[in-house]
Amino acid sequence: MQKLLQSQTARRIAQIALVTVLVGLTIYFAAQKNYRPVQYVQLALDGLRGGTIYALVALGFVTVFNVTGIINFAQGAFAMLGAMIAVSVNIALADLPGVPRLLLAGLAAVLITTLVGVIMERVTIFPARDAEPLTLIIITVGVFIVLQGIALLIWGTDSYSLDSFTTFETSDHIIRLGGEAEGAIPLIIRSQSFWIWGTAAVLMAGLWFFFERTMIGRALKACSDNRQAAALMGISPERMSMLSFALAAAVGAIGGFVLAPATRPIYDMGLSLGLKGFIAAIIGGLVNPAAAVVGGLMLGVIENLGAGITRAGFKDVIAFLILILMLLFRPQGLFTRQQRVEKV
Amino acid sequence: MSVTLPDEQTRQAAPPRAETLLSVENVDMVFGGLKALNEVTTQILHGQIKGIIGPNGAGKSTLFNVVTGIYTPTNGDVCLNAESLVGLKPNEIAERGIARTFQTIRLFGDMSVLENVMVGQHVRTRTTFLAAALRLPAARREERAMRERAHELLALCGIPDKADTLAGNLPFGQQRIVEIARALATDPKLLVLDEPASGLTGVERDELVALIRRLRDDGMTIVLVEHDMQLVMNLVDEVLVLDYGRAIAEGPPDQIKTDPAVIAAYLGEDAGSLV
Amino acid sequence: MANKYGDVIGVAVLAVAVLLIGLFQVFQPGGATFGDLTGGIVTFSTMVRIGILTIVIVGLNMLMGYAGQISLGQAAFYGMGAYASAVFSTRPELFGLPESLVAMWWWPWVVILAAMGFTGLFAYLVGRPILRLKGHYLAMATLGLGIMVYILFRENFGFRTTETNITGGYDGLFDVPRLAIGGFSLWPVERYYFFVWAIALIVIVLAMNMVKSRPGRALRAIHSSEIAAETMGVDTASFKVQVFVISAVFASLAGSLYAHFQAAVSPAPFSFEGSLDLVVMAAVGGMASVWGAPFGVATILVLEDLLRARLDLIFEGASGEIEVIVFGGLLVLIMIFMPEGVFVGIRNRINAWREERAGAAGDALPEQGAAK
Repeated sequence: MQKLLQSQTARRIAQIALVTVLVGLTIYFAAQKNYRPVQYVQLALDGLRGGTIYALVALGFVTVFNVTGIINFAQGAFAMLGAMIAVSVNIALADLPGVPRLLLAGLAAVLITTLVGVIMERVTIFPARDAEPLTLIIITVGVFIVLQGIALLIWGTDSYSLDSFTTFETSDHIIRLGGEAEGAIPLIIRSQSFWIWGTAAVLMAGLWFFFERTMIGRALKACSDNRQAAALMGISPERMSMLSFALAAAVGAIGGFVLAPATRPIYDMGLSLGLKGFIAAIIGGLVNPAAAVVGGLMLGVIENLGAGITRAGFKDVIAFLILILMLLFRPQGLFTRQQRVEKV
Repeated sequence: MSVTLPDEQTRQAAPPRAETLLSVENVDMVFGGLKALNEVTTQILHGQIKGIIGPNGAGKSTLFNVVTGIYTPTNGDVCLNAESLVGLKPNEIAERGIARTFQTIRLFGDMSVLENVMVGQHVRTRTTFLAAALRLPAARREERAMRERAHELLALCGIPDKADTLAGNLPFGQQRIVEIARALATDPKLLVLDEPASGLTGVERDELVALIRRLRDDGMTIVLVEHDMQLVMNLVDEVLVLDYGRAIAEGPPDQIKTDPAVIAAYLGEDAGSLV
Repeated sequence: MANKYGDVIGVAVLAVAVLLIGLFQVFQPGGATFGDLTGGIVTFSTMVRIGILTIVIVGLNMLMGYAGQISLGQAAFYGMGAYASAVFSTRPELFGLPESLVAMWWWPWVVILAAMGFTGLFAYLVGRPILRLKGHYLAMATLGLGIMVYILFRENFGFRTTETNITGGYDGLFDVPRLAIGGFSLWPVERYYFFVWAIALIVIVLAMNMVKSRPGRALRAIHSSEIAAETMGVDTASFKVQVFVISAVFASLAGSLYAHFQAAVSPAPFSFEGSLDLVVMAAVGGMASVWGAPFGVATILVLEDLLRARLDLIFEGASGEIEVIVFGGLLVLIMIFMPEGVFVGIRNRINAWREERAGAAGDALPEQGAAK
């Protein structure tokens, strides 16, 4: 008993020490940079935009994991495909006016990517559905490599740009807040950010409606609660597995599409998006869609602030530091209290 | 540990009876508000065979998991030779002399039967990665000794010819026997068998009973959970009955058979099987 | 079951093959180099790289194949060895060490050993907490670790390269010296080839001894059932960390050999993609087999050379991207159809076929089977 208490106390002390060190480092770096408050707000806002995309990718992770128990490594590639396909269609339809052009680009991106998701599930996951987890992880990693390789083949190593949804041009409409006074720094928001936030909000509401109010959504949910029971009720887990991949691919593609004008899409953007989406899902506890969304937003803000006060190249280091700390200290997610007891 | 002052505390911690091997004292095990074990107290004496029975979900396997360190009890104490086991990891408990088998067989299926038994000897041997890599004389000697001992154990359990078979390829009944051989390889003071006869054919069951008797005659202390009431009543010295996580009766088989509380507990399930 | 002398024969065959290839390159019978032998597709330096990577994969195999613990960040340890050798053997003064060490022949060897020690210690410190995680979580944690180490290399640990240049940032470091023993240089490449393969063979033998003994059985037990292993007395946490450290030390050693071979290091090979390449090699060879390591590495590197040399004949203008797609697709196919690895899969199938034949023969002569 005493030994048990000791180890718990030791863990607690380690946690507190770690938090202290991290807070100390943050203050130290922040003090060195000597930013004004408005600059922190700017960093947080930019982070919130990236975080929204992480949230969408995270939703894909959660959907697939809930239904199949698989972490789909290729999730980030769906977002990459969404962005790249939209870019290509946009270029191909250059003669069309802005609205139909972008609409078609988005539609093509989502449809093709969804098809890719379905094919991936049928060709690689379905035949190996009974394999051990290590094997399944490596399979999805392999699919990711293939998708990224195909993207490299099609689009090369160039980065592209997609027209802003507001201006229908590569340059975006910029909103400035404050900064009229002498020496003041304005807060800058690009209009695409609102498109990103708006689309994400509509998408999340739609997903909620789908899972709660439609037959097929409820079937998916039932499948994630208890596969055997769902099978007994006449719901085919295999079909639900395919559906979950389709859904994850579609959500990822939409994320990539709305993100495209705010970034410069490139064939290898999927890796980072996928990993960040996974971290967001982990922060949210991996099974809870709403918590995954919050996790994505938090991750976006924290990593951007962290990169802002240290250096841009460290953005990923901060994200992965969060991942490892989460996995070590709160593998059940930030918002879940009870740790499940492993049944033997 | 060698020198302890005979103060008040240590005298109280001394075993109440010299022959007690394992004592379980007021153990509670709570899972998310559900009490799987409720103030369970029992003693197991040296050389005894004790049976634990009870309806499904009575907490028998949970008790085993507490004793072997897979679960840490919410309250209470488990002592082997008066030394507390609470908070120790399963491997530390194996080192102190408790070995077990599993209700659902957990052999290392892609290793040979001999290798399975040799894993059991792990805790009594010490070859390190470095010694093994360099094939130091001590490591080679130990490996040879392990191999011999493993063959002996397989002979003792009546399956000397299966040494090189993959454990996963054996018939079910023999897998149960290999699990026992593997547990014996840890050189235990107490052998814990979780439903050893479940799924066995009549012949296999008789072989199992013979093996358990042989082990008892060699002085092994054994606890077993078993549904086969006839097997339990014929084999054990004492029975502990659990129901809803509580110990409702304990004593020699003849006494248990007529215990009104036990009969009441079983009436709901299958009263007929209570001999 | 397996032949008692199978492994000894295997080492001998591999050693002879290595020797023959090396001698061919040295003596060049008829004026043909090793490269000419393969029509210029597979170069001699590829053979050196196979030896170096074999060392990494043997370790990764022990970790993934035997103990069943995934690592998607193994390139980090490989990189730590490479960078340690590159930095310390060219500029020890950066760390307050006398500059004159650079001229000493024994200094790089000290660095190699120190790097192995440091990488092992690092693996121990991060492995203790991380290896408590299982499955997906472990995969992601090792991946994160790998990427963090890679970024630290790439970003020069956060220092400006103009002020304190440790890793050389994106460009990396150059002019890493060749290894030498006293006045005897381990260069030109033929000498280095023999040296690397001698080390690789030693590592293979050491690993084989380990997996066939008590600690090796403990690893396989952990892979098979962690709970059963633990109740049988295996300190699973400790053994997982130990094999993690061993794999890291092997990777570090290989990294150092790589740095002295290339005479330069840059961050790219130690990125996430680098770690994935290592997993592909391990998977092709077969997870639970020390033998799979050289087989897997050789298959991938030769295939790489082959694709590079001949791909333009199939796809006009195609280059690296097809290579990536082929490897990814190969990985998926292997995992679906032969999750135990190609080398092991084929070996198992041959064994099964043999047993079947032996079984058929045994049926024909029942009294012989009974006599045994």
